[in-house]
Amino acid sequence: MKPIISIPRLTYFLDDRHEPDSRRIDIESLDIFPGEWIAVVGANGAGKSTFARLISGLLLPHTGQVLVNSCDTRLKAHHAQLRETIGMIFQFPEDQIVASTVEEDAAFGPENLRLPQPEIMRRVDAALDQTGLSEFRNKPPHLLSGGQVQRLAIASTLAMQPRCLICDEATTMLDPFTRRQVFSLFKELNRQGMAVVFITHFMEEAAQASRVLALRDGRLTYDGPPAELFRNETLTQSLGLEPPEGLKYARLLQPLLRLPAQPLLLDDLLNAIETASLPARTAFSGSQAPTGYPTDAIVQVKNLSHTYLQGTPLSSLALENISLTLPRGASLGLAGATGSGKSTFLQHLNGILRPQSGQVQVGSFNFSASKLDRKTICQFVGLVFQNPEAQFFEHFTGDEIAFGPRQIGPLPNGETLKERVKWAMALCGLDFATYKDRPLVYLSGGERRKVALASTLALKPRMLLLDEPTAGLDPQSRLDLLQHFHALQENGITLILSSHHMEDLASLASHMAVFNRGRLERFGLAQSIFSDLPLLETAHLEPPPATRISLALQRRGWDLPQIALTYAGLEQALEVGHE
Amino acid sequence: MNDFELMRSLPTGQYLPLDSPIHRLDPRIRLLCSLCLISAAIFSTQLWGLVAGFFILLLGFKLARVPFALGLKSLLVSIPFILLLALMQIVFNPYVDRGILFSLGPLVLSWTDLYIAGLLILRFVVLMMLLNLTSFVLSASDITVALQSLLSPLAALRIPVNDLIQIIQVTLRYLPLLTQTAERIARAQASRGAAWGASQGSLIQRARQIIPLLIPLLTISLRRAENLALAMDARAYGIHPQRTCRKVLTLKIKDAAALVLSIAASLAILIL
Repeated sequence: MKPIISIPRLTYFLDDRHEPDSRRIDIESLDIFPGEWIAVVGANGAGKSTFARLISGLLLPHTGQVLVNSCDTRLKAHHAQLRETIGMIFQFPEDQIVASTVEEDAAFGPENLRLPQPEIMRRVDAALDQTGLSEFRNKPPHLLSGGQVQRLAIASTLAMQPRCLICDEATTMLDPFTRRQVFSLFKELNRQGMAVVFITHFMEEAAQASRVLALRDGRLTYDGPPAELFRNETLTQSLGLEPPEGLKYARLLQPLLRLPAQPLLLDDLLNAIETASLPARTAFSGSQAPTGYPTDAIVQVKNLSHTYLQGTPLSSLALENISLTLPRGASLGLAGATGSGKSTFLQHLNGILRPQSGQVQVGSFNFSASKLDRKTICQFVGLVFQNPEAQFFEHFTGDEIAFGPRQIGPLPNGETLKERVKWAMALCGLDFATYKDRPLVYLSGGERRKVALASTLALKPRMLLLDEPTAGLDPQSRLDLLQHFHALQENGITLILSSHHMEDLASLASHMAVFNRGRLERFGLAQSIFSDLPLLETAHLEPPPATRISLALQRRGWDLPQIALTYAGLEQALEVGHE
Repeated sequence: MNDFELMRSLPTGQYLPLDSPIHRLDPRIRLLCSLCLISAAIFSTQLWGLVAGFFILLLGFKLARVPFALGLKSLLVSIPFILLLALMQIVFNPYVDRGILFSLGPLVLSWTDLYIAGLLILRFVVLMMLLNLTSFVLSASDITVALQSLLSPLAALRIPVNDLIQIIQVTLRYLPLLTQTAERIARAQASRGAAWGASQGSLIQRARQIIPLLIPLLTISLRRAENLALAMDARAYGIHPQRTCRKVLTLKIKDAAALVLSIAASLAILIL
């Protein structure tokens, strides 16, 4: 079979110097065949996005060549055929919408291909149908939710009916439920013969591919089946990756379960637990987690509602009658599908959004007060926005972090601005001397996220609001950041975070609030919420892996002292790993 | 009370997807009718013509099934400016040919002044309301489709119509995007202690708040524009000199009737 994309050899320089020591992408021999199902993995900054643009012909190699259908991407005469063959979905869905309505955007590609009108409409209808956007076809894109915009970006590419689809982290901003839907859509397209190359930070997704390409520092370090990569622990580690959930837990359970094989995927592991002959284990001792909390509240929200664009014909209800009380010393996780109101809720907790109706009391601040002292508020509660690096407004790392302390004027106890910035950077594991003068654009994704965190911590808040803090990070950066969050918690900082990663929420939050279409579906202790399967299902969520495994073991008659929520929790409950 | 909803005061994106006799017209006709009436309102020198224009406007709102109050609401913002302009008319109008009402040094108030100021206020009200009505019945996508078809004869003169349309389309898409970006930067700065929206200060204070917003807005917009260009490239924009269109427009009798009626109305505004 003839490859659809073929690279005999290529070099692409990431700076203008083109020196041997320049950062660059180097590929030696790669063929991608029609109908393949390929995952591309690697740490933030390993060159995955550049690689995707090279193989789709949007960037041209400095030396060597990329052949699509045996045609060199550097020749302009081939571009029409190239664009028809390869469809590309980019990382930031908002930036790739060209038109002012959903339908018009989906039609943009086919119109460029000069298809006849009935064919354009047939394809647009099919693509909107496949992505569940038919009911929004006349909506302007800026009024869609994050998940909907992402689906529109996919629909607009699908309408071109490419033979090869390249997705650059196209599911990062989606909730697990929608992500799985989109993933199965890709799988279905692949089954129908479309080659799919997808960049992902979700190892469970990578493990389902038939072939994995791993990049490190611009080089293709691994090319082969996923099992071989993930079974090699040192290789996985050195690439900045982690094993997929199934394998991670299979390794933990191996001494107890004696499974015949270690599955990569969590679903396979759960199936194995259902069917394997398990050794009888009953009496686990384990300790119950403490559940007592003081009665005074740090956050008190009463009947909060919020409508965007209130008083205009385009108004939309984002929050409806939310009430909850978070006791002092607790931490709160927010879960829910995209567009369920988590971000809007978080922005009410530092006074960026004011209650339109209802009350919000955080610490000693009442956000319904007519005048807010933002300078005092931001020293009590800090907010790290979703995708914060998109909002950086300074050029150098040090300046970005110093912005907050600069606003509040002279620091207490004669502390200098420099000391404060240094302190905040140390808290996030950024070395002051190394990073202070680095331009933000040269930092990797993980580093940028840490700068965003440091720039909020520089105000020494007692409470930290985090909106999807680990979205878009590679596995190692994500684990690293989580460790910093744990350290902050130990320093007495109250965390309130939203995430699509149930395991992150489970490991950081004592309490959980589940949002569903702007309503608070349930608020309570994390333990009780994560084991309430019907509740999670109505909110399009699923329990963290450790909980699913605990429940499966319980169904097989194992008497666990408590339902575990995290890897460490399961380790403790099963009394393994410490012998 | 909301300090960060810039989108609310945005004039575009206010299209109302209603089902009315006006909304059902061909987008080209809607655009042409609106252009006729707007130019009539601009060039009319007749008081009665503008009064007639006001009633035509009322009829237009009725036919479009848009509550008149909604149009008035967006007019409120511009009232101070209209009044200011009227005042300047009164102060700087050089003609005095009818009865002087009042004089104070060089300041003279005459009937002519009042007449001209009244004309100006009426003209602006009619004009603004017409623009509002247009935005309520004509979506950004309607405008691009209509322009594409109306301007296509210019292609014969080697004018790159398609590129011009694309520029308009991207601009229309970019306005809300810019607002959104500005809103996000403002929020990010405010949540780190910047005095955004906190002060109900003077115009100068407010202007000063905007300056730290401008540079990041520019750099972030450029980055997004770059991403957008790449995305358009990936979706085959520009590989063929001509594009096709997803909509086939066909003129019906009611479209012709609407055009004739609005030309008549425009003439009435100009001549009455």
